[in-house]
This record gives sequence, C-alpha cells and structure tokens, in this order.
Amino acid sequence: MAKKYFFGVMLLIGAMIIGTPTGSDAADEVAKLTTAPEVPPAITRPGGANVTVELETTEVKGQLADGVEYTYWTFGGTVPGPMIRVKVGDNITFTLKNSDASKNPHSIDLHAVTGPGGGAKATLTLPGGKTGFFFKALNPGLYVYHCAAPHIPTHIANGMYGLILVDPEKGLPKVDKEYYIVQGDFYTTGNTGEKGAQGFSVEKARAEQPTYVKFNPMATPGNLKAKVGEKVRLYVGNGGPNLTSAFHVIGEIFDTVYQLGAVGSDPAKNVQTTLIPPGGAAIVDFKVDVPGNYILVDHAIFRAIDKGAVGILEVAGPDVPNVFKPLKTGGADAGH
Amino acid sequence: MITKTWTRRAFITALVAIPLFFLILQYVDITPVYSADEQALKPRVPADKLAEVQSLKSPIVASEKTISTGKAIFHGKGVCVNCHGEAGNGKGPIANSFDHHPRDFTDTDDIGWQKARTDGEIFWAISKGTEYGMIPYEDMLSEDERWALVAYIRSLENSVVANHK
Ligand code: HEC
Ligand SMILES: [Cu+2]
Repeated sequence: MAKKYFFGVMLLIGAMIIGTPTGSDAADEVAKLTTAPEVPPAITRPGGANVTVELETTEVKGQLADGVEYTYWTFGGTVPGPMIRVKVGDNITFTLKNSDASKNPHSIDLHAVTGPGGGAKATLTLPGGKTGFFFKALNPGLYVYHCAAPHIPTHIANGMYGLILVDPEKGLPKVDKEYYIVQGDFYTTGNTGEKGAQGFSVEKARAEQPTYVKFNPMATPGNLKAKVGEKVRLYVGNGGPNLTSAFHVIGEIFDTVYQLGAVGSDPAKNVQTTLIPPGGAAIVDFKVDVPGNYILVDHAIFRAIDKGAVGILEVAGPDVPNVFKPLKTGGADAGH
Repeated sequence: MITKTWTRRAFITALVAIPLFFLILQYVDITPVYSADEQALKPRVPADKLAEVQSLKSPIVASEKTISTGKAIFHGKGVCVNCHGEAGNGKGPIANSFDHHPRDFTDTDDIGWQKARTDGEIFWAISKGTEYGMIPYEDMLSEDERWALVAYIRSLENSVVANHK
C-alpha cells in the first residue's frame, strides 16, 4: 500500500517539475523559417521573447538557368536562405551548423545584430561543426544576412545570403499577401546561356561583369499570386555581391516603400522604381487593381531581359475597365 | 684647360640634374614596392608582437605520429586543402579567389618561406589568420591540433609531391 502511494507521489512531483515554467515570463519559441517566396507569419505577441534560430550551411548543386548547372553555397539549401522573422526586443539564440558535406568553413553576419562582425567571428564553422551566439534585436527593419568566411566575396557570390525581418513593436500595417524576394548577381566560367556545369569565375566577379542576375534562383519555383483588390507586400533584398538593383514591377506603382528597409522612417509614397544596394533591402506595398501578369525586374534592363532578373506576379480576377482597358484599334488594317 | 672644361661640364650637369632629380622625386612613389615573393615573406605578425611570437616553442615533439595527425587535419576537418591544395603547394580549388594566393608550403619556387618563418609564426598564422585571407582557426582547432599542423607544414618543405612536374 505505502509503496503504491510513494510511486504516485513521485510521479506527481515529476509532472510538476516538467510542467513548471523556467522562471522567465517571456515566451520561448523557435523561429519559423520559410523558403522564398514564402514569408513567416507576422508576430502578434509583444517583443522580448526568447527565440531560437538555427541555420545550416550547405554546398549544393542547382540550376542557374535552363540547362545551366551551378554549385550554390547556401543557408538552408536555398538561395536566398530562409527568411527569419523576429520582433524588436527579442532575445535571440542563434545556432549555425555547417554540413559535414561542405568543403568550406562558413559563418554568418546578420545586419540585424549589434555586435562585432554581426556574429561572423563567433560563427566561423568548419564542415561538421556547430557554433552560436546570443543577440538582442535592438532595431526594427528588414536586414540582409550573409556569410563572412574568407574569401567573403566568393561566399556571397555563390549565394550565401538571405533576409531577417525585425518587426516593429506595433507590427507593420496589415496586407493581404506577403512575399520574399532576393536579387543576386552570378559569375559563371562560361558565357551567359552556355549549358552544362558552370564554375565560378572570380575574374568576372572582380570585373563586376555578371553572366546572370536572378531573383530567388534556388527557391520554391512558380509565380507569385494575388487577387484583384488585394494589398501585396514584397520584402526585397539584394545579396549582390556587386550590383545595385533598380527594383521595379512592370505595370504597377508602389503605393508605399520603406526605402532601404528603414522601418520607422516615413515611408515613400507612389514610387515607380526603388534602389536596393548590395547588402540592403526594401519593403514595397501596392494594391493590385487590375488582373494580369506583372513582371518584377531590375530596371537596369539588360540584367532583366538578357541575364534573367525577372519574376512574375499573377493577379487573378475580373477586368476592371475603369482603371485599365486595351482599345481595340490595333491590327495593320486598322483605320481602313 | 682640360680641368676647366670638366669643371664647367660638371657644373652644368649638376645644374640640370639636381632640380630634375627633385622634380622626378615628386612624381615617383618611393615607398618600397614588394614583389610577390617579398610580399609572401613579409612577417604576418604585427611588429609589436613579432619577437614574442617568433620565440614560441611547440609543446609537442615533431614525430611521424604528430606529422600524420597534422596531415589528417590538413586534408580532413581543417579543409586546408581547399585553398592550399592536396600537395600543400597553394593551388587548391578556390585558391584563385585570393589576391594573395594561399601559401605554397613546398617552397617549390625557392622563395625561402619555410626559412623566413619560425614555428611560432606559423602557429600564430593558423590561429589568428592573416589580413590577406588566411582563416583564423583558434576557435575551431585545439592548440595541439594547430601545433600538429605546424609539424606537418614543416614536413612539406622541399617535398617532391607534385613538384617540378
Ligand atoms: C579559405 C582558404 C584557406 C583555407 C581553408 C586555409 N588557408 Fe591558409 N592561407 C590562405 C591564404 C589566402 C593565405 C595567404 C595569406 C597571406 O598571404 O597572408 C594563407 C596562408 C597560410 C599560412 C602562411 C602564413 C604566413 O605567415 O605566411 C599558413 C601557415 C597557413 N595558411 C596554414 C593553413 C592551415 C594549416 C590551414 C588549415 C587548418 C589553412 N591554412 C587553411 C587561405 C586559406
Ligand atoms: Cu560561406
């Protein structure tokens, strides 16, 4: 009898220990990471949570264009790397793993970090290794992260970058659709369009003459989608390494732009094209009023038409002729 | 007569040459220009730490065993080969990315790098990295592992692996 009781009491104590919160009243959570163009959900809780973020660096084969194979160096196996979303005031425990299949040491410099190297020295990691550091997200905004292992430009040119969004305390204004896009310039040993496995040309990279310029070159394929009347928000980054993007969406006007990702500044209104420097970002909002395909480009237009810097936003819905309609006057025999 | 002409010639030459010399000086950068070899030999350790680092002694004895430990790290988890090459001759797959090429430990070119460095300086470069692209390993490899690498690098001097082919 007594033995049975003892057992029960032990169980109860055990359950209490496991169930007890760890003392801090802040929530503990694991950041939800997403593959481009998906964006993690907005954070509705107050800032100050303890958040863990873990990324793994890998070196993987992928496509750069039709029939053009390239070995990307990545965060999380994609280019851009996963999007991270936290809130201002959050306490972040960051872990970087380097896959044991990697040939290179890798590291991470997050522009959202206030501290030496943005974490780069603390996270220099050999293949098969694991490192980490702690930081507090002091400033809201949209920030680039990238690898900072020597030779840094080579690591960035091979695709090692992504975005981290630090939501402001009150959050960003609500929209209907959010997407994540990062531009990068690439330097292959062969000419643009040359098929087969392509190596990295450090000579072309030094000369800043890319053979490809791409949005989300190794992420979830497919078009961005929205419905007529919806508000769309794009989180756009530029990994570089070299080119400054003249980001534009053909047939749209950005109603609101947080230029340079500067959340907290007065946003710009009614912008046609926004500049995004390497290692920089922008948040653009616009309402889609008319159905059709809207093409995202770097408006330094050779890069779009000849080197691949295009993306498509598909807007579905009924025609809205009071905003836009083609006039049926065309054809060679028009006017006859 | 002869001496007089000579003095005059010398005087005129000097009159032209001296101002010309100073004129040229203005346009010529007289800071020393290093050749690639001299550049490789220049100490990597900052001047104020050089003496101390140069006198560092390895706590491990270089033996076949420590050399093979170093070799395993060089070709394995240290990924040194990716930059310094399988043969340690500085011709790894990504060596080209660096303006200052990864060091050739075999001294194939007889530039005398092995002689120019003490063990302490090699240990320091592996630990702290250099401003020209060598990666700092002090947080990634133990002290013993780094000294084993020094022993292995020393064993590569004049190694015939892939040299003079
Ligand atoms: C990412 C490329 C890279 C990797 C990996 C790398 N090195 Fe280097 N290493 C370099 C470069 C570049 C230099 C030349 C830098 C300079 O001139 O200062 C160099 C120089 C050196 C030097 C010469 C420093 C001096 O004083 O002249 C030593 C010793 C060295 N590396 C050892 C190693 C060892 C041991 C490893 C592996 C544990 C390693 N390196 C891994 C790129 C690399
Ligand atoms: Cu990297």
